[in-house]
Amino acid sequence: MAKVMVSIPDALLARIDEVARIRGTSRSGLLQAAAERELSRRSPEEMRAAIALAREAMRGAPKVDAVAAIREERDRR
Amino acid sequence: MIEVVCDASVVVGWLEPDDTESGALLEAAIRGACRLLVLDLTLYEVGNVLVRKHARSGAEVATVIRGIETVADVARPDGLVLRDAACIADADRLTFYDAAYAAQAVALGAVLATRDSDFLDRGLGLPPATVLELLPA
Repeated sequence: MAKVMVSIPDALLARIDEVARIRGTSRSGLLQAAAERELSRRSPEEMRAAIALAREAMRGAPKVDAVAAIREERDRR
Repeated sequence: MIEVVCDASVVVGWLEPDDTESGALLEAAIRGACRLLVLDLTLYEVGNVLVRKHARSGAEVATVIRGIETVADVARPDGLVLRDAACIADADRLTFYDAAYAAQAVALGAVLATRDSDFLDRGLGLPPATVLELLPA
């Protein structure tokens, strides 16, 4: 695995270390995860297209109180 | 960037034309004002509603799930988060499912967005409209 040297403002590094501590990971691990997430991020166009298809898949669905339905299932399980 | 864990009540709102608040939160994420996260549990909860209440076909459910996975990162709570979830469930008299959302949000330093009064009444989550107020203009 390559080691790289990057410049990060002190305040940002402090936040990185704090979040890494909270999440139980290392500074390196947190930065790797952040980089992977950033690289996998979808474009706004991809997001809009995917949610439009999802909404199209709901066309004609009976109107229900979905919040109540989810609550009912959680309490019942 | 603010991270927002969305419980299933908000995620189904993305599919409902009437739920303008959840839709506005989704739009904010698409614009890059925040990052949305759901739990792996969310996919099952939403899928359950789609099959049992909305009578959606397998293909339609798959399309919706794909849409959710495209707009939100899917988090799988690890052992530490689930341990915290058990503590929250016990302390706040919540189901373990509910508590998993709250624990994941705490672990990530994220905001929990919800439309469910069981969270809101306990101060464990915020409605989408309030979350929107926290985001940069």
